[in-house]
Amino acid sequence: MPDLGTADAEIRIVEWLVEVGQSVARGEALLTAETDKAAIEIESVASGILQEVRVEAGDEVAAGEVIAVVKGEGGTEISTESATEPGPDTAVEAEVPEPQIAPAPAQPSGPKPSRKGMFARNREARARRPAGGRRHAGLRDNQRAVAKRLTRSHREIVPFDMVCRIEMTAAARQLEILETELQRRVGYNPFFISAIAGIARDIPCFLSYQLGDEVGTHEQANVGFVVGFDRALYIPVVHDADGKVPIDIGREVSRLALKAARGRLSVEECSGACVVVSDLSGYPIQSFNAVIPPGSSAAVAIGGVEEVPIVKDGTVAVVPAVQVTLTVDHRVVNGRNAAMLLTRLIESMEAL
Amino acid sequence: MKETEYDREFLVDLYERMLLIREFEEEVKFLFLEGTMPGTIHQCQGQEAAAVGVCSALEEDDVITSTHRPHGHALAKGLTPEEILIELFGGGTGCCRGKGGSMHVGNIDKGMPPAIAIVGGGIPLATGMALALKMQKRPQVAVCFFGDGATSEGAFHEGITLGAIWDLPVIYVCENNLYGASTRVDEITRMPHIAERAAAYGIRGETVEGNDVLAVHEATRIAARQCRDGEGPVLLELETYRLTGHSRRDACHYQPEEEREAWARRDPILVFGRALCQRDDVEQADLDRIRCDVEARVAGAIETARGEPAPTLADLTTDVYA
Ligand SMILES: Cc1ncc(C[n+]2csc(CCOP(=O)(O)OP(=O)(O)O)c2C)c(N)n1
Ligand SMILES: [Mg+2]
Repeated sequence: MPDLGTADAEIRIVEWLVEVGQSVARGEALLTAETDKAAIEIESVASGILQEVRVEAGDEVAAGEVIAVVKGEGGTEISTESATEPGPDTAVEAEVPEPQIAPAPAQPSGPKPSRKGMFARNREARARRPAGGRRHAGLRDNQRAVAKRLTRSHREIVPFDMVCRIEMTAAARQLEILETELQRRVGYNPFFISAIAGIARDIPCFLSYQLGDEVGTHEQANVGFVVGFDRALYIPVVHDADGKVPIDIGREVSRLALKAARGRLSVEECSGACVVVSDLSGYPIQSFNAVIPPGSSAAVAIGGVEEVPIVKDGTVAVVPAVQVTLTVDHRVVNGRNAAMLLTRLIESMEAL
Repeated sequence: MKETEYDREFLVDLYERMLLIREFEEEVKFLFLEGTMPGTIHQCQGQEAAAVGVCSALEEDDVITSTHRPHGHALAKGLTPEEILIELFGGGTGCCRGKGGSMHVGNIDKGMPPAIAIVGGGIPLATGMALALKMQKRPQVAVCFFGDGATSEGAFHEGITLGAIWDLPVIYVCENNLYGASTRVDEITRMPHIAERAAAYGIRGETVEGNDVLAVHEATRIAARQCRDGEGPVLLELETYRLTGHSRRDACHYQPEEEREAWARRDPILVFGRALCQRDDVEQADLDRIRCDVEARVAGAIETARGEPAPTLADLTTDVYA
């Protein structure tokens, strides 16, 4: 594994791009990995047959570990074997055997001059480091960034919550149409994003935010949505969502969610949310409060869809509904404006 | 066809030098991926025509300053692949005795002080070197390579202001590769061309197709003549593109795919190779032979470089000035 990270963190294998048994050329992309900075394609350093893969997608490895073995085509038996079975003392620094450089001149054979590889040196230095040193910070960069933002939110933002119930009969019907059209599952996010963007446009305090002493305003109604994985959390943003129709937003949501799953979102794609939506409507939970990311004015938390009895025109009916919890940063949004947003949200969602 | 106005040897030499840089950078990339090459590296695949076009128009004793992306400049200025590679490996016989590494390669005897990795840092220094040349009434020129990112540094303004008011023999060469790390140039300036900034200093500026090695050569030749005639400085903007990450650890997701593909079609080596083959006296086989030679040369240099011992503790204070 090449030394591609910028911190002392492990590198996660995202995907092997070549299957075991297939041939791979020097310089051809062999796998994608996720460093503390970004997902990156890693080129093979040798040509040959991919003989063995020692780490699976999802595994985390340190720079310098052997992750695969490529059996060289042009290489002599010796060079291949010496690299596939490194002696106990050999610093294993290449993931593959020494490449044979095609019309290279005859080179002096014999043992390689011994120069301890950087990785071996680093590993030794790490081993010498007292336990509890930097290594314990095994957090991946995403987790570190999320932790930092959550802490900042907790420290600075003055949250203020308000709950309402929204009947989802119309929304459920529209969702079915949308998902059939898109041929993908996207959930209720597109409808909430579309509605909230329009409302935020009309109630401008939702476009403002406070960071430290600085108060700012977003020029467009950008709405973020939370995408969570086992060990990562992203809030990609649908920019200028006001005026976009749910089907277009649905496409964008699905594209962004896919990129999130691959760890490939750009900074821009995760920046600039005025309001964020957290949709857990598929789970049997009643309601929850979402954390407002610094730089946003509010978070909308959508609880699980439940069949509930409601009184309609004097009689009791059973309908699907969700509890929505709006959390606002009270420094920029007051209670009346929060109530207005929820009122409008109920109207939009029930009239879909 | 312009290529017919030059003699064959000169053109083939340009081609070979660009290819040497490309091969050097590609091999270094694999050394890095293998884990044998320490540190991160800034490479210049795609920008070879800038380095070679400029340096081919200079005299051996003209001086250049370089940046965090210096391998191409160094090879174009006549440093050998060996002395650079040894430096990259941290070997004691490298061009900076193993104490500089990738971002500081240089050889003052070949007109290249160690490269300066501080963005924009070379601009006042090249200006100072040009001042020395002028005060000593010497005929050489100083050439200062820097990126588009450097043009927003204070050092750019300060350096060029002094160069201009003192009429110094210095060519400011901006390799505009559209990005400073991940930031696009149009996010840092309203000016469509960096060369237009020359007007603000009362000097001549020119935007040049930076992937056309002959265009770069010609523009530099004229600029150097102007400087030697006491009519410097000149600001040259070479429009080019980096066909690789900002550093080896950069996944380059900010370069749109279509943009990267469009520039890959304008690969300076590809384009120049094609133009060369238009001549009656150059065939594809000639170019292939050059490629083989270059590959062998770099492979040999790597072998040599791997074996060089690192500096010892006793070398700690030698060749260190501050
Ligand atoms: C003064 C300074 N700031 C920041 C950096 C970090 N840095 C290194 S290269 C780089 C980008 C430079 O971009 P550009 O000048 O366009 O050169 P290019 O990398 O495109 O060749 C930055 C910000 C630095 N080395 N020096
Ligand atoms: Mg640049």
